[in-house]
Amino acid sequence: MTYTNVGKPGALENHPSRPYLGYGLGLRTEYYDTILEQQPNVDWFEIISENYMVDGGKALHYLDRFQERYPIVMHGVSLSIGSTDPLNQDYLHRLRALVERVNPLWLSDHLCWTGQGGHNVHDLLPLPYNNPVVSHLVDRIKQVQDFLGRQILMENVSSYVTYTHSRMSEWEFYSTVVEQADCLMLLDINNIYVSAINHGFDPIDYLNGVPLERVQQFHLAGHTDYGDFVVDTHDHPIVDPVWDLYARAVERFGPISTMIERDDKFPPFSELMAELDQARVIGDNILGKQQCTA
Amino acid sequence: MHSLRNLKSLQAAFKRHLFTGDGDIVEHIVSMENANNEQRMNTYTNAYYGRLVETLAGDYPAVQALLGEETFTALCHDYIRAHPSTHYSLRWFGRHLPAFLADAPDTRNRPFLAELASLEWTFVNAFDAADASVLDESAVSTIAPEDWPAIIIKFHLSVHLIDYHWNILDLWRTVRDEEDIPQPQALPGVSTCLIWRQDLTTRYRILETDEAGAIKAAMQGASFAGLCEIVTCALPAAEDENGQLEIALRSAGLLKTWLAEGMIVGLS
Repeated sequence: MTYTNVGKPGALENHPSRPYLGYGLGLRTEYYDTILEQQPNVDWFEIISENYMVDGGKALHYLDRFQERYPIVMHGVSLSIGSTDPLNQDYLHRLRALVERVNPLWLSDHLCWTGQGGHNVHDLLPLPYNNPVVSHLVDRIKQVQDFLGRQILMENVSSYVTYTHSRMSEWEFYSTVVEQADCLMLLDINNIYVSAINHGFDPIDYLNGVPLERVQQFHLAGHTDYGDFVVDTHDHPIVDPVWDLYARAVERFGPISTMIERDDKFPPFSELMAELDQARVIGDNILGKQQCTA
Repeated sequence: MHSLRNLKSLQAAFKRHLFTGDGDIVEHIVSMENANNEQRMNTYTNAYYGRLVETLAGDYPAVQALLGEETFTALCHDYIRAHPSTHYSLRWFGRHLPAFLADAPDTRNRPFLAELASLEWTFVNAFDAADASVLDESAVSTIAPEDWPAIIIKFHLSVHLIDYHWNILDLWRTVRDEEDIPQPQALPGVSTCLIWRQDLTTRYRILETDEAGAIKAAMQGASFAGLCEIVTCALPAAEDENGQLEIALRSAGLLKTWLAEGMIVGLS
């Protein structure tokens, strides 16, 4: 499938090989019918891959409907690229089958581990930032990319712990992995903010520390604020400091496909659309200014 | 701890903390002013149990309602420790709960809980069973009369039968419809419930004895003649001519119903 209307009219060219989709949403069952009825002004949708790794029923039925109407990208939560268990071949085959069915613009997962010793803990657990772990990840990302026959995007996760084994900053670690593995970045702006609060670093240092040409997608989301500690829950509206950080990210990286994740305490769809409009206003305003001064 | 081998031991220690509260990992976590190392690990532990309890509550709302939230959550924690997830998808995490309830000291003396859980898990399985084109009632017209006895029925993969001894359908339905939940009661005998997905809607229906027997036999590969024998057993007056007609009408009627309800994918 080809999308002739992927780029927004007047959108800046950024990296020649980097597609720009505009402003999207995470596709969630709570909004299936509303989206199909209203056909809202959403440029693209991101699906959670595992939700469609089923044999039949509603999920795949709706997926087909959305595919007819919107560009789709796939986002996984179970690759467990950082685990010391062997890569799960069942999972990879199921993932490849879904890629063949959906034909997504791209697919992503997280730079983390989700299980060990044959167990899955269903959480995006952080890794120690050091060279042996970089090598471990690079080797496995290459295996996955070879298996799928395409580049994947790796996303930074929110974290609550720093291991005593870490020897470099998260952004240095992340950048080194994607450069060596020759994969792309899904930069989660909220996760950078959450981790910055929890670990006491400057989120601008993070943005400045990752390679421009590797970033292909942004995530935005809300979180739960406990004052000096923040938990990434995706159940609140996006807060002003994250909007500000997003603006800085657009200034640095240019036109990057941006979407909002909402996974709990689902508001009326109109509220989510208002948030998406806010992202659009912030992003297009900066991109427009950049275009004027170019 | 810089080698890959040590990443493995680090991950094993992290997992042990989630599973058992083992503290080996804690000394390898940096404490800061805003949160010490234990508080930081607790964020993961709370999320781990919270997410899995939420998954079980989603799959087993009636069991949760019967037990009450507090008891259900405590029972889920026992289940999580007994059956840690081994699948990449949460879809499969709750699959052992019916057997767990049948065996656990706190619930085995209330067998309706395991039966109710079996019912709810069967709904989960019917919901996303593999898609397949179903036959409609016109399919019977293509079969020659002499071929009928040997016909084998192939059901849609969403078709399941549940044998039950308690009023679990009343319990389940009242929870679903947010009505007053009746007292669990043993039934005078065994009953059978049919569960399947018609198009995108998961359905259920309580079966007469002969229909339950016929579907069970057909699912095990019995021919249409075999199904007629089962119907015969349920109709004591089958010896005379009227009885034979009654068998034929009942058998054909069952088949027609199954076709109309979108349960059959093949007649061969």
